Amino acid sequence: MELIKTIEQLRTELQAGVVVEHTTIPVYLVALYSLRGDANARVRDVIHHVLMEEMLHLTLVANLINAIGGKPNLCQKTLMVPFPAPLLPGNNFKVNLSAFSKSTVHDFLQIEKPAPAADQPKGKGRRTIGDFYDCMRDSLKLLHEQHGDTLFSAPSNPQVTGKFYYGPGEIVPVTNLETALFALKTIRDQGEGDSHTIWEREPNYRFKGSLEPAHYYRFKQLLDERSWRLHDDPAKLPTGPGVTVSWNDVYPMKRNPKIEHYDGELKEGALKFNKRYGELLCLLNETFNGKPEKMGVAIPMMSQLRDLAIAVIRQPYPGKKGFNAGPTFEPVDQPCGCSALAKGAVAVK
Amino acid sequence: MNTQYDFDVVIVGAGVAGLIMAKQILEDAGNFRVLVLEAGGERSKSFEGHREYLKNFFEALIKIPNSPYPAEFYAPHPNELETKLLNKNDPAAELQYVLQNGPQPFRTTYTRSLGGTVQHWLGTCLRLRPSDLKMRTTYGRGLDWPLTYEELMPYYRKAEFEIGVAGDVDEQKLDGFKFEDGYVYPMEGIPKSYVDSELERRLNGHTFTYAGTTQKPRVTASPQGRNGIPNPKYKDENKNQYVPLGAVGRGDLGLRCEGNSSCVPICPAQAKYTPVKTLNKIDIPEYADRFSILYNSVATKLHIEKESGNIESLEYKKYGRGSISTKQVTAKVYILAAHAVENAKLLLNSSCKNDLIGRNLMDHPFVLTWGLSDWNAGTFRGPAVTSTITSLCDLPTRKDLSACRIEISNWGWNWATGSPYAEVDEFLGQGLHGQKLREALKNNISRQIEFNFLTEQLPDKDNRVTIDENFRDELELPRPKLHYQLGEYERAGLIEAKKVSDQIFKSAGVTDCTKYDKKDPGYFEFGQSNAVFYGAGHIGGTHIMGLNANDSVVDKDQRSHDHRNLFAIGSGSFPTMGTSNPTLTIAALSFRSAEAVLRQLKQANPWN
Amino acid sequence: MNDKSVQKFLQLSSVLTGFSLFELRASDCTEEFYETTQRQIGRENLEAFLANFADTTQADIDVSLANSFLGPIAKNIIRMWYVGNWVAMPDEWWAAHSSEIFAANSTFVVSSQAYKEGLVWKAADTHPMGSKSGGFGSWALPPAETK
Ligand SMILES: Cc1cc2nc3c(=O)[nH]c(=O)nc-3n(C[C@H](O)[C@H](O)[C@H](O)COP(=O)(O)OP(=O)(O)OC[C@H]3O[C@@H](n4cnc5c(N)ncnc54)[C@H](O)[C@@H]3O)c2cc1C
Ligand code: SF4
Repeated sequence: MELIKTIEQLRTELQAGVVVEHTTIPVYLVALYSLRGDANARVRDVIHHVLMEEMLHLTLVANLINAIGGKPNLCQKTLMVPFPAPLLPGNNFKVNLSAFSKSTVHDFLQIEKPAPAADQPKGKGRRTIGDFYDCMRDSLKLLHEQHGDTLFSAPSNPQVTGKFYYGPGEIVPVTNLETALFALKTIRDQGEGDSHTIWEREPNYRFKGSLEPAHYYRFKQLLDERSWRLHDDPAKLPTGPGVTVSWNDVYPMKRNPKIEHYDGELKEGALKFNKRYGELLCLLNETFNGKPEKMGVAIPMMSQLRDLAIAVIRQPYPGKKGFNAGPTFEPVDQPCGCSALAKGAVAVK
Repeated sequence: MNTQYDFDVVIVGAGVAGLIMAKQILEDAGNFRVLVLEAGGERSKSFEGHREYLKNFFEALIKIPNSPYPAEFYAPHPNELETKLLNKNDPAAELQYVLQNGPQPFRTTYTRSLGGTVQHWLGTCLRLRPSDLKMRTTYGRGLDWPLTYEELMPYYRKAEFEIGVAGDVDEQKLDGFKFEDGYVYPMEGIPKSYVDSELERRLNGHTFTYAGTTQKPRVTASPQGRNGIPNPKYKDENKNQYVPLGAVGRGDLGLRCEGNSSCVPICPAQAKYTPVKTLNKIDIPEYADRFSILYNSVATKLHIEKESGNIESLEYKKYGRGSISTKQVTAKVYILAAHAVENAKLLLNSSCKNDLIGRNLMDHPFVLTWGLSDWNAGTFRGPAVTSTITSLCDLPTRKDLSACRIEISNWGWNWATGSPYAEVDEFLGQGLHGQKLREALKNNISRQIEFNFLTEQLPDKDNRVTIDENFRDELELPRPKLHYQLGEYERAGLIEAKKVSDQIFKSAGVTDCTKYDKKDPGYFEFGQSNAVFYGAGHIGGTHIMGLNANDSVVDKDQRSHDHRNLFAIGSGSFPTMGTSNPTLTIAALSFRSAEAVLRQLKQANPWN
Repeated sequence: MNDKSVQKFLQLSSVLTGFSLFELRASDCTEEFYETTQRQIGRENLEAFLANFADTTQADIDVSLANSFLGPIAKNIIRMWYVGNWVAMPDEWWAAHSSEIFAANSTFVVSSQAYKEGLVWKAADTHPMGSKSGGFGSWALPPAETK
């Protein structure tokens, strides 16, 4: 990827980061909620942990955009798209809403595919999220060389702190090059890692016994039904203790379900979910655009959404015997709660 | 006395008292060697074990505090349903591990496995009030502590750090507590529940009469040992900010209370403090060669050297599948942290002489009152209790009747009636079904208001733990037998509670529904009135601290007056109970006593 | 398992509990409750019970609840949906109808899932104690609007 030359362009490009991080969230949520009963406790943990980190990444990218004077855009009108949805602009890899299965985990691996390590030649393959963040990092450094600390001197710089976030990793307010690079590094290390190492390297990780593999390798454990040992070779199979995965204890949700197929209470439920989800995004938009305290309200909303999604995923799919319905995450025709704010926000390409 | 010791310190019991003690000794530069003996198993050490406990809870018919934590065959523990009195011709009374000699039942419980009773605590972390420590001087009742609030202050801070307390110092100050200037709790206060704030709003401007005085209802948020928002103003001893500790074995979980509403008996998220979090700080490679913890190892007897009275060795029984072996261990200093009843059992079984051992058994006996609000209270959300009405904690009336602290239940009538189960049965019994049943339940449950009036019980020598040779546990040890009764002072306090409740309910738009059942084991009458009392699980006394062997069992360092290399720690050392839950003070005393233990270890002749 | 009977069981459960089919399916307990009922009262009794509700009008239900054979079964099914517990059948019922039953007449929690999905919590606009938490601070907010 070519380096970015202007601050304005960097703001716009980083918005793509917001889109990428957000796009993964419905995908992981649906897989998580498709798990049935207690048999897949470990799988649940793995997906849940990754999800929390995706939300962390979303926050970090938003903080970074604010730090360089941009406005992150999380409005439902921008972020809610029909599935299958492209993961990265300019890349034809699309992600699906689908129940947990081997092929779904293969999709996850595609999403989290590690970039070649720094000392390896860049492959010709598709652009990975890792490539994207590497480019952001290098561009940021370059622009900092040119502009110095004025890069971070945005008059209003509303940072979201860790006050309302509780999960793995740490939300850092971004105020200078150091914190900006730290934020990017956290995203990069937790997510894709690189093909040299299995483990996420997070300098501030202080929880005993919680050295975790990066997302790609974490999902790989599910496919291989085996966990990584400390000195395992990332190119080979994990050699640690077995991981119980019960592939059948899953609600057989139809891939990329559509609300147009629903009726009655199912339709009502699914619609309510989409509306609430849209409201949540607008609320987050406000959170990231000057009202960080709104995060406190967003959290109970997430719990409600969880219960709604699970209710929907446990219903039969109308007219498709053997399949279950699921939340559709389709855009809803409702006024957005943050239009005033969204005006100034960066449009997606 | 021999000079070759197996360890520098042996600690009996891996609960909060014992593990804080172990941590303090290990972290000292003296490189001391520590052994902890734990009677129960180690399930709580792993995340899988925690999940097993959680499943036990979900699948238990009666979800009492010990329901997630099955008793070990060789290390039994009581539960609060075991209230049958001996001598009532009920053979079941003899089967209860803790024997109830009456005249009233001691309605309480503790847990014998790694983490101890704190595993199912609620997490309320109040300090004791300065006057609580001076009951004799101030109110002519009970006893004075040999320690003052000022002496305890620095240790309260350590305890608040270790447990990870979320609270609001300013609100505590308004409530009469003193703190060092600029001090804040490690985490910001846990939000008050909707029930709390609504009551507070509705009671604003109202007064009530209590024992001839006029009082204002003061709704105060309780400091709590559960993870909240770290307070950016907090600085620990090394000037660092507070970092919450997550779930055992899964540090990314439990970083904040999620409102699971099951703190007693188990916090699914492990946002609530458990002593296993303290264990994790010392169960690390750096200490591997000088720290051991043995599970399924029940301390049974102290061997006392005749002349000096010092402890020579400790006998314990290690049990496994179908095997029991008796072992001895020697140390410079022995520390009993097995909790009040078990500490007494061990001391009595070791033929320690002090007649006060086992005496002054106390609790916070409480009564419940309950009613239906004429507003939607949104019950069964959040931790069991987030605020208490503190107006009656420290009034001059303490010279006449016991003080009390009124906990506001966030879980409706859960403790009073067993809600929501009882209500489902009741409405089904009335023939309700379908939409009507659903609405009736909604209407009832979301308006349930319940108050728990926790009262201070005074030390009474006749309330005591003894051991009975005729009844033995699975290791052939004589079992503990409790002699227990509420005095006039406590009864008066408990009865007054109902009168207060009636007035507060009225002011807040709540219709009283309280009914006391004559057949309940806690039923009692006083004057014209009656009530049912419960036990809070705040067991105190049994080896109270004081000035000398005539008035107490241990000194202010919790060291035995008679056996200078023996410490008995925990709420067993409390001479009085105040109205605050005991654990924060237990923790503070452990920090304080650890300094005394360390001083002793560093002496040339540590057993003098 | 007879799919038709299960569907009948589900429909009847909806009338008995006052929760819609959508809401009951959201619990994902139908099969487990059907099996539990069948095990605890016997196949024949369950078939007889279901057959009794040809069309489930309100009047039918009222009559059935008062019936000494149907009533205790209906109440047990309601209770199971509401709190996740199966409760031993009354002695008289057991004495009269248990000849074909192999299970012991006992009281138990059907499963963790049955507990967590108890309708009583939904009826009261809250979540089961120990699961489906509302998130930090949710308890400070006013209760959800009832629909
Ligand atoms: C339902 C309930 C709610 C509570 N809520 C609160 C609250 O909100 N706030 C509060 O401050 N307090 C609360 N408490 C009280 C609190 O739990 C106790 O004060 C606290 O657990 C005492 O700590 P401890 O370490 O002294 O004893 P314990 O926690 O009981 O630990 C003692 C340990 O010693 C072990 N042991 C026992 N005998 C032997 C032996 N012979 N050999 C080896 N090991 C042995 C046990 O297995 C156990 O691990 C509550 C109690 C109950 C029951
Ligand atoms: S409310 Fe829930 S998360 Fe919070 S401490 Fe209690 S059990 Fe734990």
